[in-house]
Amino acid sequence: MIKPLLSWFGPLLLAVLLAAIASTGGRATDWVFQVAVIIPLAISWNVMSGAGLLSLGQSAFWGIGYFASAIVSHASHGSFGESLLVSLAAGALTGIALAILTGRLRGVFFAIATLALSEGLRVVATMLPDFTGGAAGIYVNSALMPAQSTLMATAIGFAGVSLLASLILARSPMQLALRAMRDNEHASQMLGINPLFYRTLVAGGCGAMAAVGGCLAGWRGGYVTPEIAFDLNYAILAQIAPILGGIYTVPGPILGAAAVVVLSELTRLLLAQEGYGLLVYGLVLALAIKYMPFGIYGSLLARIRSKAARIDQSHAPAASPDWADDRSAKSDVELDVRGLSAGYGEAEVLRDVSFELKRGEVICLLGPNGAGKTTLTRALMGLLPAGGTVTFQGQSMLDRPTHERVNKGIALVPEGRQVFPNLTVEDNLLLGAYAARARSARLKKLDEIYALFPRLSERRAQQAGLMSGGEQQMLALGRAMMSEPELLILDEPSLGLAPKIIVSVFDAVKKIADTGISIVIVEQNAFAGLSIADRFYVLGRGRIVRSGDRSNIEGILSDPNSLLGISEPDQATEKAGGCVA
Amino acid sequence: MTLYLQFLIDAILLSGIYALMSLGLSLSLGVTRILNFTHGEAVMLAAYGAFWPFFLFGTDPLLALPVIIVLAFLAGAGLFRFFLQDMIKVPHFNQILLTFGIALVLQNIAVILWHGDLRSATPDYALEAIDLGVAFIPVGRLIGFGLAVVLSGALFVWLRYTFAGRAVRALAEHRDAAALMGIDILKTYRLSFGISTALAAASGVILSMISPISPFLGLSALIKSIEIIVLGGIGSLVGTILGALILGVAETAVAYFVPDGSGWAPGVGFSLLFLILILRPRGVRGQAVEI
Repeated sequence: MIKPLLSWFGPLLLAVLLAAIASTGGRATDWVFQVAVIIPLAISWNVMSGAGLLSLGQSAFWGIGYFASAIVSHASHGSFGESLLVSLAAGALTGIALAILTGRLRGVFFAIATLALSEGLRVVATMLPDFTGGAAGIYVNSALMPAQSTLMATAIGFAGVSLLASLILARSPMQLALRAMRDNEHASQMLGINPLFYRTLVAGGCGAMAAVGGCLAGWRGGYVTPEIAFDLNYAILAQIAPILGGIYTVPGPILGAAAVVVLSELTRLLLAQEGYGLLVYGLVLALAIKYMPFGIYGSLLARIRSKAARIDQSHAPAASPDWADDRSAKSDVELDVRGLSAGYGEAEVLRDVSFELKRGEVICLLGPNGAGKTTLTRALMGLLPAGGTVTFQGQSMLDRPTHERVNKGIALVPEGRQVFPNLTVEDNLLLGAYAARARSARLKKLDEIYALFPRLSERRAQQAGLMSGGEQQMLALGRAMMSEPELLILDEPSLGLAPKIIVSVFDAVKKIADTGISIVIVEQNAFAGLSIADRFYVLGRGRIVRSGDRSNIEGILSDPNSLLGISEPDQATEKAGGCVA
Repeated sequence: MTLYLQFLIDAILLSGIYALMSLGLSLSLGVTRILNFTHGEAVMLAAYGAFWPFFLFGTDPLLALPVIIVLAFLAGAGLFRFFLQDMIKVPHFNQILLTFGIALVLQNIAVILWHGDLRSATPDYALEAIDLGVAFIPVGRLIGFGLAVVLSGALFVWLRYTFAGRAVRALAEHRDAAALMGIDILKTYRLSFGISTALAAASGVILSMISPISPFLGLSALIKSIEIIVLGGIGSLVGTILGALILGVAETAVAYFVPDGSGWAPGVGFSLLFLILILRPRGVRGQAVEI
């Protein structure tokens, strides 16, 4: 109910502002005109950004339109209307060319290309004096100048057309495709979206929109040089207006254009010297991005939503019990996990996971795909924010960053190994001893690891990324051991390895366990995991669903079906495919 | 023949200075994945940092260099600590635009304080040239080139053989895995921003010795650095040096052999950028990190 109303807030505010300014007379028409031409510029930037095309050189299109006003009227005596058409076409063609040339570029690269385009066009315009008047500039043919009222009406009309276009786009199914592209272009391709088509469409349309804005400004200015036309100022205005108003929203650019013009006029009145205008833009841009990333419109919206949310708060779940008080003081407990919860954003993957590990023990956490195994290991290491308590050797871990946990003596061999592919094997191993606890004894430890994995010793100077999966797993294991851990966590060490290799990896893990290091193996491969475990837990749907000790393990290893028997009925099918390889 | 030899000398000297200018940006981009738009402003501010002591007290820019490098290191680390550290998880858009805004502020503080005039801090010896008989070697550029070689060499040695350098390389390759090694991610980010800014500042001091400076120097330095990095392949420092060589040679060639060439020179990088983006978007050396 409120949202559709609010989407008209922008145009409404603009109308009020325009009326207020118009009633003051004098420079007011200047203000109105500026707002009117900056609106298409700002909308063009906003729509492109909304499709993942971050432009830092929107002044390229603007400048092309600006030049069109003078070149068309001067060289070929074209009329005002013809110059608008020419700028429309030239802007569209430039946008299309840009989109096609930068077809494979994303994010930062595209931004760079636009900045280079704008600067490049400026150089070209300066170096082709016969066509553009060069550095000296070129005048608009004053004989063909339309009446100021016509110019103003056209500018306001075109601002309206731009707004309408962005409104229609925001309501169209295409908007969804553009959002998907912004979020993840690769993924959007897999949904059947053709990014190149949409990029070309968006860049062409937006290029045309910005160019017409520039052309109108050119007619009003009456005089063009490359410095004026391709002034980066306009590239900056094009960004600031939507950001200040509310990025990716329809009313944002309009609110922002009005705010920016008021701001720049005020700056000009108060601080006339060169530099202050851009200084203020820079400040506003930085502050808006840092403290008001959703802009004026976004913060208005948030205020309304927070009012609505306050009503819902009574339904919020009660705070989870504080397990910390209940912490066992037994000295032989290495790791104590209580009520651990973690997830990604709103999606909670782990709910209330509790288990413990005694010093020197090897436990196996079994679970199928999607049970939350990797989420658990990441939460234990602090790579993900988590709730509950994790106590290691009597010390609480959850409020510590990852590197401190490593320095306390916990090491993780991550899922998929995650070796540093371009670094040598030896560099990978030495990085394992980066933590202060291990650094001084690193060379001694290195010899130990090479003794444990002779294969790594042979390949010490090779790039890690060139090794086989099994060798990389050895390297990941060795690298984790370099930090002299007291607790070693292994995340699916068997993943993607041939059965023979799996056996040799687990042999190595067994050797490590025999030295007295506590080990948590998180596995999908029950045979491999249980073969060396003292106890096990089964993780299903984000919580521990079963646990067992050595006697259960022997039963399971001799009769795999018994594992199905001890898991919850609704998980049986998953486990049949997942756990029992 | 003499012309070609002179061309070669000029191209290589220019490339060295370009390499120093862009290596820092390449490093910070590769490690933090944040494209730091204030990089060019560090070049500009350091150039003024060399100009003022020279203008007021006649201090040799080479004497000011160590002080400027230290200050720039602190400024770069501080920039990360106070503006970017709490924004490492927001979209790249926002990070880019934030540094862009800060760059604008820095540039225009310079415009307000020192106006747009061209100035230079060229000591007399930098204006001299070594006469080889068949060609000249301008002393100022030779000194700049020498400094560039020394500082870049120091960077490579540091990255290759020290624990902190190894941590920086590991972080560029894989953030989570680096954290699992016990590397303090944020501290390493600050470190790489500090080093990056220090290298930029060193190139700024050299620029002030060999060419006129203005507050607008920063933007063109930034754009050139970005062009160089993309030419070479993002994330590869060796690639960045190759990119600097390509741009230096191409710009010098245009200035030497094309009529009106020096006016076109700023467009060279732009054309090369588009060419490489079409032919080989991952750069000469291949892109080493995903952005």
